[in-house]
Amino acid sequence: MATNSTSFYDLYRHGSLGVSLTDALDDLISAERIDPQLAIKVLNQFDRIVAESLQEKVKSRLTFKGSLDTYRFCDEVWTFLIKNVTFKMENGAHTVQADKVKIVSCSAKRTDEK
Amino acid sequence: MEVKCLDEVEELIQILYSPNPPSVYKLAQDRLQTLQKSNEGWQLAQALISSPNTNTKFFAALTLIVKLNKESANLTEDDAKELLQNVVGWLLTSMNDGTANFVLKKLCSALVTHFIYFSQLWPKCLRQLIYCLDIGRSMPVEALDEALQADAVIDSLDARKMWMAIQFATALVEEVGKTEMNSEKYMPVHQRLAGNAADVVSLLQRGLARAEDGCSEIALNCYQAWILYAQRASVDALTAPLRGLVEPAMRCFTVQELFQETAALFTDVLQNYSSFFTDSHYVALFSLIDSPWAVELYNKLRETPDDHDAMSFGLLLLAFGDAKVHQLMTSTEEAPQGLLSRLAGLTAANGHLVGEDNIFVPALEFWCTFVETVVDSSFTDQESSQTWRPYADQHIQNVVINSLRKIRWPPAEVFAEWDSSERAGFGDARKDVADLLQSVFTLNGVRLVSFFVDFFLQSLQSLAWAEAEAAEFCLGALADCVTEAPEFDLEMGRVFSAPFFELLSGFHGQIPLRLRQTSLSLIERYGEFFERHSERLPDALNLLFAAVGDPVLGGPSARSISTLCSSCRAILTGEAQAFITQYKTIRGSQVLDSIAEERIIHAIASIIQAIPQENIRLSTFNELYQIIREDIIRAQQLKHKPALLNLGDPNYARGLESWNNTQPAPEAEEIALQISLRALRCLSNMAKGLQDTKEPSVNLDDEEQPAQVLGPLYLMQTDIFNMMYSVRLNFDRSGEVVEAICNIFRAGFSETVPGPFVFPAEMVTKFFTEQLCWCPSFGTLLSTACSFVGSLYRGPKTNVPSQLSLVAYWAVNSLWILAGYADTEISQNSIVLLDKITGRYPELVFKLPTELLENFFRFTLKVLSEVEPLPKGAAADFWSGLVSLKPDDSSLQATLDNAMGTLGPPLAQSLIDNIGGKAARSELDKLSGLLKKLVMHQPRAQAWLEAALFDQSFPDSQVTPEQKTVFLKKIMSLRGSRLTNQVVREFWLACRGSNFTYAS
Repeated sequence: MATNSTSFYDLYRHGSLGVSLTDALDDLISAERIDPQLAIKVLNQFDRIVAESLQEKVKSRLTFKGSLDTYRFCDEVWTFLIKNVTFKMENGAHTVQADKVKIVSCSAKRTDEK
Repeated sequence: MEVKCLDEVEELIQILYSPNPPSVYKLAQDRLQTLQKSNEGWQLAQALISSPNTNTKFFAALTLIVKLNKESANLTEDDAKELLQNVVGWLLTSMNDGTANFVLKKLCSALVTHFIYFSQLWPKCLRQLIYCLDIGRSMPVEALDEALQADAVIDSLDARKMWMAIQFATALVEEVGKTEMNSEKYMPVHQRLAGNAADVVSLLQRGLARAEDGCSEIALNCYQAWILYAQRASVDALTAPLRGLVEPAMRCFTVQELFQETAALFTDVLQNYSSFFTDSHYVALFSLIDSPWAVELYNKLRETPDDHDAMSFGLLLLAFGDAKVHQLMTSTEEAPQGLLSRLAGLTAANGHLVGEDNIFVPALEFWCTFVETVVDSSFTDQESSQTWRPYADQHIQNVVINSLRKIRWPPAEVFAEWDSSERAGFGDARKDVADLLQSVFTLNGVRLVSFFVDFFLQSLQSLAWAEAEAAEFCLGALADCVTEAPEFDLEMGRVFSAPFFELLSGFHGQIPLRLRQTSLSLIERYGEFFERHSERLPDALNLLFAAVGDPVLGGPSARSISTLCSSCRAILTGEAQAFITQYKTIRGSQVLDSIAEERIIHAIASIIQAIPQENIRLSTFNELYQIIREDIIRAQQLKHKPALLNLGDPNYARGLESWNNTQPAPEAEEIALQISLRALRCLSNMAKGLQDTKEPSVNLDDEEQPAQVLGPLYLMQTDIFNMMYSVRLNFDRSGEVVEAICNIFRAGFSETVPGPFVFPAEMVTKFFTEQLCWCPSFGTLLSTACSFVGSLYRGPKTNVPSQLSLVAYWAVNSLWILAGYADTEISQNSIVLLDKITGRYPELVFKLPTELLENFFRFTLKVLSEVEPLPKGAAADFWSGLVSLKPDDSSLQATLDNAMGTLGPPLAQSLIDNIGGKAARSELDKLSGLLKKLVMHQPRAQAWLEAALFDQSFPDSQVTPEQKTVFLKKIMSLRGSRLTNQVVREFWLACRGSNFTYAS
């Protein structure tokens, strides 16, 4: 029931899944198969499902090590800039190196819900 | 409405509820929808509502909703009032004649839909309905007395009417809650909904107290819906009266039948809207969960964690703990500490994880939050003020001990009875424990490691395998946390010592498979420890090699070998020969799993890479290479002489790995192909293992000659190349072969030091340019050629132009031959390849035969106008690069200007068509990039763009000529700055129309 009323971040709309979904919704609107109100509902649903799935269903882990270059906490958003990062996938499957990584993280519960 | 039509409708409705083929359902559904949407829909609903059939009545109610949603704008105020009075009347009649509840609920939804569109006609909708329910007939809205005391009327409602009123109140808040709160259209509806709060509270207050006639249960559901709506609305006028119902709702805990609903309500609000409860509510809740009644439930939960009531109570307890975690943590008083002890006790309920004990995972989540709160406070609060810390540490320690016990694998016979979801759940719960331990490590550091090491060694001594495995798992979970500090090495040194290796080498006889698995994984996870303590490495690797042949442990062992050998390569150079011998022995006696074998090859090649003396390095490599070379030759002989096939020989049987026993045995040629593919993948892993781990040095001398590779290394390169080439020729229809060869090439491209797989550029070019465009996986070849071009740019420059000319010709000529039949991958990669070459050596591109070059330009413009996103993106990048080229050579500049004179207008046309609405939203940024470059670097851009904007082929007429002119002015005045993207997006939206602003 909580899910009916809780609002979710629209952060994931800018990821490749969200962008592709928006393109697909645009196509459906162009073809007059759906109206924009339904598209809004689909996107809201997408925000909810992604947030919930990441929280509840995704059990894969990765760890990373690096040098923390900059960090800040502003308006409930943490930002970390990390250099020389090594990502280690689950079960030591493989590692990925990156010179610089930016991590932006928001609280799972929005301030208006706390 | 004619009777005939009504009969037809009833018949169609019956079809929907009877067993029929899908096509019949669809026809019936379509016909009913047509009737619903027709002008007679209203009369249809009115006629059907009096039917004795519940399904028909339900359809009538549904029709009302459909009509209201579609045609409410056509109704006058009087029509709407009359409709309201009718629907209330039908509701009352249906309620009295015993119509099924689902129809009554649908009629409630119809009334709510009416409220959404005509809320101004009956702002006090709940009071209106209660009034009608009380007097037993439908009344006009004007008949409602403003001064009517709702309390008195509600008191007089019988159970059925009460149920109806609460049902309406629930539907009201749920349906209105689905509309946009901030939109101009629905804002008044939400305001009027809030105006019903006092009546809702009066209704629910009485409903909650009427457990005996079943009203309390739906009153709890209704209350939950209103609370969650109040959270979204954030209106004090709504929240404050609803808070008044907390105590009546809390009293429902004592009613056995209502316990689960009540617990669910309070758990939900505690989890999602904890600020709804006031301090006094929390005090009351605490008294409740601290009472003897609650302790009894708690004990029941610990004994039988699958009991539903007990489980609901456990979740309530955890939600309360979560909401008050900070206060509980910092209090040293007996009562809060008692609650924390009980919460810790939830991690020690009876039964196996997940299948029997469902409370462990939620309890663990609470303790993760608790530990994180302790961590936060330990950094922010002064140490002297942390009097609570020893208490918190004690609780955490108890949870860790409980978790360690919980994650033990059950006996094999118990595990065998679990279904797949229980098994997966068990694995996930172990991961959750690993998460908790990583958080606890932040607080306890080496003490935590030491605890598990002691526990492991004790378990080992007492041959308690399940406990030993659990301790190893926990230590593995901390592998990423421990540093190289001596205290950690000291502790891990106690683990990786004689008893551990004796255990795995079978000293204690057969040990459980899981313990062996976890032990091997522990070696892998602590690879860095072995790097620092090389004296223990041979023991570890011997153990791992011994397990390679095991069907279950082979994969993880090979992975550990690969990780350890790669990271400790410098220490292991003396062992390379021994490992090759061991590998030969294993593969001589059995068919290894192909992935495991590739990892072992990678491991040995990593060690070979670290051998400092070149001659030894090459000869050791050659020994390993010869094993794979023999496979390739054997496969080719098999292809030509199928009679050679002997599946009893592991050297041939290795070609059967992908064969499913249920299918007929494959032909000798197929087996030969599989053997060759395995060999190529081994070569690819060999090449990856040989990659230098050190940062490549940067060569500042552009004119340096490429290092001449001579002697044995050159001969070896030639031999490897010939082997690959022969596989390609022998299995010329296999795309997998092409892909495997490309992987081998790629591994060499990143290298700067000569090596067996760092082929001379001429050799690579020769391979590419001899492949025809019809060959399988041609797109992969082009993509590999892109990497090749990148590698050429990183090395000496002398030889580059000649190779690039050949590669560029090969790519554009292939496109010419394909003549429009290029697939997405070929289209994209060929454009990327030419883009890479044009960026550095445009003169080479413009020296290509004119017809091929013109064909390529036309192709990129065509791709830019089509819908395939990847080639389109590549084409946009290509043109961005081309229009911004500024060569030093004046003749080349003249050629370029000349070309742009011809190509500029169609390019602008394609670009404007896209921006004018044809492109997908996600492509706009890339297209804006091209537009910016065009505006910045091409003086004639304005004229081209203007012509394109006002061309008849412009895709849409939603924008006026003035808007087009303003757009052009803005674009030109921005001169390629970042704001262009925003202007492009706005213009695209204007062209597409307001239907597309939903995601802006």
